[in-house]
Amino acid sequence: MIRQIVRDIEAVFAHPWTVYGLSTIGLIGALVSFSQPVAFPPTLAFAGAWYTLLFWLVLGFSLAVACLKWLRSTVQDARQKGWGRTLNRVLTSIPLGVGLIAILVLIGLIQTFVPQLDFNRRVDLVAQYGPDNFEVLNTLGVFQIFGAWYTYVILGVFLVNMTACTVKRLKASRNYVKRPMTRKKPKALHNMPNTATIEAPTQNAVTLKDRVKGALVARRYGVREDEGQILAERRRWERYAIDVFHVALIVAILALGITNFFGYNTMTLAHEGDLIEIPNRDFQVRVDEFWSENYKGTDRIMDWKTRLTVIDAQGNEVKTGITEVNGPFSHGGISLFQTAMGEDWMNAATATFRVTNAQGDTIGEYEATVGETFRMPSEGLEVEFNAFLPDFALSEGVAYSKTQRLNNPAAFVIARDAETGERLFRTWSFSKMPQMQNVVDSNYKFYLEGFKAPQFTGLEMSWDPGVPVAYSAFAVMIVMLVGNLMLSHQSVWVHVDESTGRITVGGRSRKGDFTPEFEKIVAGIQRELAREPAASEGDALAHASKGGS
Amino acid sequence: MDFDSTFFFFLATPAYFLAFLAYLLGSVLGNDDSDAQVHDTAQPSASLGIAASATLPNLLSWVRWATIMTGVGVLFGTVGVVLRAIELGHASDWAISVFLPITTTYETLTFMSWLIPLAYLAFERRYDFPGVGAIVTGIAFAMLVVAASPTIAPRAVAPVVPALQSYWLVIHVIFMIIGIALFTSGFGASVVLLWRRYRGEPPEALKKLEEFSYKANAIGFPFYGIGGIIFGGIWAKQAWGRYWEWDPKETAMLIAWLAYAVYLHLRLHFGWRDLKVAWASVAAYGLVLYAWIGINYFVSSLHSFT
Repeated sequence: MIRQIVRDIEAVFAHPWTVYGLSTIGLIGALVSFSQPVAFPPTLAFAGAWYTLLFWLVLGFSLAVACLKWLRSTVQDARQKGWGRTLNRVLTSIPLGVGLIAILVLIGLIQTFVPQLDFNRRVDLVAQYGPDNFEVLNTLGVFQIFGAWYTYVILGVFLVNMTACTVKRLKASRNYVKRPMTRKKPKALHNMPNTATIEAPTQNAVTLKDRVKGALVARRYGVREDEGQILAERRRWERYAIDVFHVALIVAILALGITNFFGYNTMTLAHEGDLIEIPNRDFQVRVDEFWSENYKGTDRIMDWKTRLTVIDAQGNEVKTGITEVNGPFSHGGISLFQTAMGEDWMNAATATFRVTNAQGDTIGEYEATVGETFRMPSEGLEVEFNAFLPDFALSEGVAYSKTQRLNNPAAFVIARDAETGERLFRTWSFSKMPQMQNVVDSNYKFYLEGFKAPQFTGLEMSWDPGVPVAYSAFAVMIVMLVGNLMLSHQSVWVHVDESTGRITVGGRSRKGDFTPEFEKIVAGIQRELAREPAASEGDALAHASKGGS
Repeated sequence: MDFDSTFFFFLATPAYFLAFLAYLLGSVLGNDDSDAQVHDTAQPSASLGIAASATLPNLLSWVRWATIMTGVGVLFGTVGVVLRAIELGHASDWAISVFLPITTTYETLTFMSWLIPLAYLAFERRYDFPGVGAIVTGIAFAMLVVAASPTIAPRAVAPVVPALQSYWLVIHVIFMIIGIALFTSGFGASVVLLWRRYRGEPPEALKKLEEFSYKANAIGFPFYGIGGIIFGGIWAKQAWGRYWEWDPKETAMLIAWLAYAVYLHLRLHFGWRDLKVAWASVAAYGLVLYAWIGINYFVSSLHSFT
């Protein structure tokens, strides 16, 4: 009775259509929720209502039952056939590989629907999704989905699966290439995609075969013979192309791993004269100058360039060069890429403040750079110019700059007692809304009278030991893909009927249209048969035909 | 006519429309019978017994006129693309030695409206299916109509932005769009197959149509992969310092390529044919469109250059 119930539950919940159907609904719901968090909040979509919670529980139960069913059949299989064989069968399963690719496709889709933390600031995502939804999705790893543990697990299993499948394929290809010639019945030759019958002039069967072989060798075919039947082949090794492509693909993925784990990329904002420290290298790079070039007669930027000088540990100038967009500067395995240029408002803005007292009288004008302090001796104050935001915005109480453009410039100042250092008050000062100040704690007002910022050049510094490996793998992948596309294993069987002089030819190709080549082969055989044979020609042909493809 | 190139794309538009109508008529009036022709004419040659697969010429068929009009459209498109490249070169002070006019929405639409029918014509001699021709020329016509909209696709020639001044732009993009053009033919063949199966035709009669779809997709697959993953990676390394960023556009391209990898494995390893493999081809093409156009409307990407 209980067994029957268990079987029924399994039949319903582990049925492929149940699993696919529920997973599809769940995926669509998740994608809609991830991309439209305001209309369909993830907090509701995942556990905010009894029906959503019930849905995910049913989906989870269905997946668990399906997994248990698969596990049980695998264990049973292992008990019968041995664990090693079963493990090999599981790892070399192409359905597993296809399934993993499908899951990676779905993960990729989510990544393209949902803004990622790699390309967006946390504060922007909190503003877009709201703090609760952000926390839910962040916990699920959705905002860095290709850095999530489950993606690494899937990628790892996929890599193992692809490696196992490739090894299996390589063995199969080796067997294919090394296989002995199989004799076919003449009727089978007629059933091949390309077939022809040639009525040869009556002559010695051995001579006939030798001349046919000669015609095939002339077209660069390797020839074998078995009981009066000839097999001519070329490009038998073509089958290896796609295997080697898979190997190269694995190597390329491993190269990506080398890049991620051993290489580094850092973004540096530098001003003219700055020295850039290079990690793990005994040299520095000095920023000499940087500039932008426009197209003639327009204000459209044509290129950004930075002149750099390498300075070794002894202070000697070793090398000078220019980095520009699409033209990095490299030295000692380190490359510097030109990625940005502009005014460094956030880090190095200099502002002029006009400060007034409670009566509105101007106390004075003060200039400071971000991070600096200025003193107001008559008031006993020391004021820190704490931050400058060119495009002020607020999200969940956190101030940030939406862009680097001067859309809403704002400066943040903190005033302290000049003697004791005790913080007295702080306020934002807005250029476009000068009256909007924090007047609760103080009688002072800070007016942003002027601001400027030095130019910066944005350089991406990169060391990537995975590049040689990746590029080598890329080259092999290209060669193998082109080889797979252009080359094909071609086989031609020739049966010579000694009694009638009838020659049956059948041919096929693993890929592509073999007909034009087959027609040339048949024409070549016909020409060869029509030719008057030279003395002792048979020996020479027999010798030539020993080579295989 | 603001520019010379625009004039030639303007001429290509009615050519594609006429080709579309002629293909449609050819398909509706019964010319869409490449499979049947193959069955009828697969007679052994009298002299050698070679199985021939030549189709009977039909000089007065709609399909022939459709092919001619498509050729005319492609010819106009060729002149338009070359002129646009010269215009772009002038505007960009010939900053890079080789130009590919595919830096704006207008250029992408006009370039693809030239390449997609061109890729189809390469197949047509062997796979003569007017229904596929109707889909392909219909897509090309629609692209040119959209390109004619100044709000959706402003046609003004703009100098190339610094990020695009690289010969890798040409190599990376040309491979990818050849892949997309081939996938479009594969998609068209799959849609026609699905339609004809819906109309009740048996799968045996549609083998050649399915083979057409497979061939187009199988040839497009390496082009798309080499252009996107390999050449794209090399250019990304040169421009950004990393050959793979998991940028949304990169990811979308990768999943489209993986979808075609699944399609090929389903066909080659699992032996899928007919409806199932046609649906897989349509779904994979949907992902290509998503990677090419759709993604731009969802998230910002490093591939947004304007």
